[in-house]
Amino acid sequence: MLSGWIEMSQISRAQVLHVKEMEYIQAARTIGAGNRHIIFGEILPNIMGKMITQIMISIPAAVFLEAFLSFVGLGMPPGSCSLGTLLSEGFKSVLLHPYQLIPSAVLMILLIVGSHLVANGLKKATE
Amino acid sequence: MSKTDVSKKALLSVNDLCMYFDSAGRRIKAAEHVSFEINEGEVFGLVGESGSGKSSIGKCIIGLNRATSGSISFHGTELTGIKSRREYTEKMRDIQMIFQDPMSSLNPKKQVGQIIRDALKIQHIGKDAKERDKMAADAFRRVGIPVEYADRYPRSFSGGQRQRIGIARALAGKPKLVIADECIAALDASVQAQIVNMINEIKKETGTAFLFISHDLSMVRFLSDRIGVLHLGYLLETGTAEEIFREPMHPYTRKLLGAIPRCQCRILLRAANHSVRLSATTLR
Ligand SMILES: Nc1ncnc2c1ncn2[C@@H]1O[C@H](COP(=O)(O)OP(=O)(O)OP(=O)(O)O)[C@@H](O)[C@H]1O
Ligand SMILES: [Mg+2]
Repeated sequence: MLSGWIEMSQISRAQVLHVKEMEYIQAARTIGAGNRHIIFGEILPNIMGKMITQIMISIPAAVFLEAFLSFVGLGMPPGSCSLGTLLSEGFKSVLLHPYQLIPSAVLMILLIVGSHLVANGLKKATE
Repeated sequence: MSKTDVSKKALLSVNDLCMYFDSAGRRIKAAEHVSFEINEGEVFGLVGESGSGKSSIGKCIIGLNRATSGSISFHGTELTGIKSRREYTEKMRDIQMIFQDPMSSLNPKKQVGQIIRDALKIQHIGKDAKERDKMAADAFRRVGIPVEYADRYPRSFSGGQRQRIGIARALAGKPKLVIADECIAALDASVQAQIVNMINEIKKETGTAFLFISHDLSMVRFLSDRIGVLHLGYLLETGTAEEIFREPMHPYTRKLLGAIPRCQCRILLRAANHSVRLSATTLR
């Protein structure tokens, strides 16, 4: 979770470098636009779409990672409110009390599938 | 065509311009002691093969490249020594540029009307938003793009239309000089002819001077009043279009002229003339 920003910054850096070479940036330069206008007015709107999609894509990955770590006992301490801990508690007594596992499992599936769908929708919308 | 009766007042004069790129310890000489003048209201064609330094000279004038030595004076003010951005904006308002690639010269996230209004605003042209709106509408009209299209995004236009919008952006503030660097190279032949025709009309109507950079000699010949031939950074000769094409002085120019097939030249010119009628009917 702490490492999530690395990929993000790599992607946005690559995007900026790509957009920076476009002729419309030169066009802005030739009429004397300042750095502030070029960064916020020309470059940022063009990389926003990609960045938002990237954030949305990284959400399910983060949820899954957290759940996984908690499930194997490396994440949140037992008793704290986390999908991973709920899952692992439920898993221990799944044969006797399956109702302890099912809601959290269903919730997790919905969360991951849902945010994937949102991410895909955003991707299509921003292209 | 009245190619001789342009007023003989120099608008831009480039004197002894040198422009070097120092990269990886090697010095690339993009322009070597280049001197030429562009008079008010004339089209100056700059020709030469790829890598001869045409773009570098254009970028020096517009301020994207820094000249190594020499002077560029526009309307009597020296452009090479400008430091601050404010001063730059002040002085460069009357020089605009048309870019090569119509696909990347318009910001895809801005409506085309917005692109033009922003350009005017950055240059402090026009009193208020209303006036800038009107200027943008005028510019659209001049390049034959319906004003109603102003709130569309660049992706909904064809390459030729985008190039027209790029030209509208350059012309909106009524500049005195427009630098067109390979502005037709990315378009196909019939669209090239339309754009060249349009530039010709704009020149006649508004008296805007153009620095028309191209390696397409037939187009340069059609459009230019005077031509400069560039080779490996050296400006070999300058002269009126007729002089250059009828009796080229320099052997290199002769070689360059020999390289265009005569029939292609004629066909393109005919296409250019033809499309005057074509565009007039299709645009209404
Ligand atoms: N940013 C740069 N850094 C180093 N060298 C450069 C740079 N830009 C151009 N050059 C070199 O300067 C020379 C002139 O380039 P320029 O782009 O002006 O040519 P050109 O006449 O416009 O060619 P073309 O017709 O292909 O556009 C070339 O040898 C090129 O390699
Ligand atoms: Mg070039």
